[in-house]
This record gives sequence, C-alpha cells and structure tokens, in this order.
Amino acid sequence: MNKIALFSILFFALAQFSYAEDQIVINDAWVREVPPGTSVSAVYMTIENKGEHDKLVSLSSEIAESAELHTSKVDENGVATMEMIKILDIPSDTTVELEPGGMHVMLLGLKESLVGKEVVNLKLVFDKAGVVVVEVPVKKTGHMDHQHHH
Amino acid sequence: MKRRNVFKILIGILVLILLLWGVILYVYLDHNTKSGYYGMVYEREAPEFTLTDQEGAKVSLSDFKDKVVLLFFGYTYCPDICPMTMSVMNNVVDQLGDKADQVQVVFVTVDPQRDTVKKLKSYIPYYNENFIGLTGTPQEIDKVADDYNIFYSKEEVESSSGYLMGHNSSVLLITPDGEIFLRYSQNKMDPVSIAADIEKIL
Repeated sequence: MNKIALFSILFFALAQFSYAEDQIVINDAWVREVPPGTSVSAVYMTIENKGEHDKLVSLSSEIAESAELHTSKVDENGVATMEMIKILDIPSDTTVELEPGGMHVMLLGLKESLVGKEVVNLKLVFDKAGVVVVEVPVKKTGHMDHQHHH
Repeated sequence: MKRRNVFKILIGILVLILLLWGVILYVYLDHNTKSGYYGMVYEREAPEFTLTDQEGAKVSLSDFKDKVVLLFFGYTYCPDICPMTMSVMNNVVDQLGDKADQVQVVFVTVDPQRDTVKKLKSYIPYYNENFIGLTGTPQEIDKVADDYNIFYSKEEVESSSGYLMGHNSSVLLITPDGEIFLRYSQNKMDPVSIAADIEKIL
C-alpha cells in the first residue's frame, strides 16, 4: 500500500514536470556577455505557450542575486526608460518575444563575470506550467573582434 | 450615361488628390532626410565640454576637432539599450575600415554616482579600446546633458537594482567644425547607414 502511494506520488510529480515541459517551450535564449565588473546583464528568448492561458510569475538564477522582467521603452523624444513587469501574461497558443530594445530578463547583482562562461541557468516559474529551467548560452555582442584587422 | 460620366470625373479627382498627397509627402519626407542622410538633420552648435575619461584624464570636445565625434549618453547599469548602442558603434567603426581613425566614439555617463573612472576603465575598453567614456561630478554631467538637450532622470524602482536611469538614447554626430549635424534615434541604428553618412561628411 505504501509502495503504491509512493509510486503514485512520484508518477504524479513527474507528470507535473513533464506537463511544464510540454506547455511552455523556450527557444533562442541567450544572455549578453558584459564587461568584467558590470553587475547587470540581459537575457533574451522566445516563450511559446502551447497550453492554456498562463503567467510568468518569477525568475531566478544562481549566477545573479536576482532576476526581473523589464521592458525597454523609448519615447518620441528619444528618452529610454525601463519598466519592471512583475507578472507576464502569456495567453494560450501565443509566443512572447524577449528581444533587444524590448522585453528582457534583467540579471541583477552578477555573482561572477560572464566573460569566458559558456552558459548560465535561468529558472522561470509559471503559474500553471510550474518551473522551467533553461540553459542560456552566453553571447559576445558589441565586443570588437581584434582578429578582424584593417 | 450622365451618371457614369460624373462617376468617372469623381474618380479622376480622387486620383489627382492622391497624387498630390503623394507628392506632398515625398517632399516633406525628403526635406526631413535632407539630400539623403540617414540620420535626422539637427544642425546645432556643439557646446564645448571638459570631463574626465576612463584613465582619469581631463578630456574636452575640442580635443577631437579634426574628427567626427559620435556622442551618446548612457550608464553602465543599463542592460539592454546601452550595450546595444555600443555594439552598433563597433559595427559602424568596422564598416568604416581605415576611415575609422577619423572618428571618435564618446560615451558620457548620466550616472556619475556609480560610473566612476574605475568603473569606466573596466567597461569601455571591453567594447573598444579606442572608445572614450566620460564621467564627472553630478554638476558637470548635468551641465553637459543640459547643453546637449539630453534629458535624464533617476528612477527609483521597486527593483533590487536600486535605481535605473531614464535617459535620451540618441547618438549625436558632431562634425570637425563643431556642429551637431545629425541625430540618430533608437530606430535609426543601422551601422551601414550610419557609416555611409560619416563617409559623406569626411
């Protein structure tokens, strides 16, 4: 009886996890490599919700003290600001894009430099789909390639 | 028969109006882009300034009077827009090839509190050793931003980053004769087009 209960619980728990994997699909994730000493960076990705209406409720990463969802805005005068998004609604059957100049996950208080790192882990928590962990490759951008000589 | 004729005339008038509208739009847009420059023509005097660079040295705008200066304002705690602009600047410099020697990219912080000389020293060379990052006292920064019509403000946000900065993110192109000639907003960040503008000027 105990064994059955234990097995059922395990099965149920695993089912929850795979449910999360099926419902939410993360693609094209990447994080900006930033200069050593800079404590913030941005993560971009597409979030596809194949299931029912869901919400992204929290984010975290071992490499940073905290992770928050922000969106960049530039007004008609050219003034750029950022707004924090506490909860992101993701309707059923839609794909949300996090890209430069728009929404991004801001990593705050980087505990180590991203320079030379291959990947960082990002944990996304969804209201229905639960926890999704993404391995995010570090991308060098804006860094002048010194091999390219004129 | 009469009805059809009236109809045709009305269509004809409509077409004429549309054509006229098209011409007006074309002239208006052309005036804005002025003989084929990608950036927006600004044509204001570039006021002199002296700030401190990432080596701790005093740097003035007049130090670059024989170069085209690409000036923009930002802060190092900016995760999205400023790194993007840095990247565009690097691509512009790459596009220019040998002519890049005649161009100077200058970054001015709107966050002198956190962006000290030491901070800039670890930030700027990462993007490009030839770029210059400038900081100063809050008063000095305030004056330069004001002279250049660059709005900026501290946003106390409910975020563990402490505070974020809102700031004008346009890139200003200053010609060797001390004029802010062109202005590039965030939707005009194509490196190839910016480089083409610079080549026209040099």
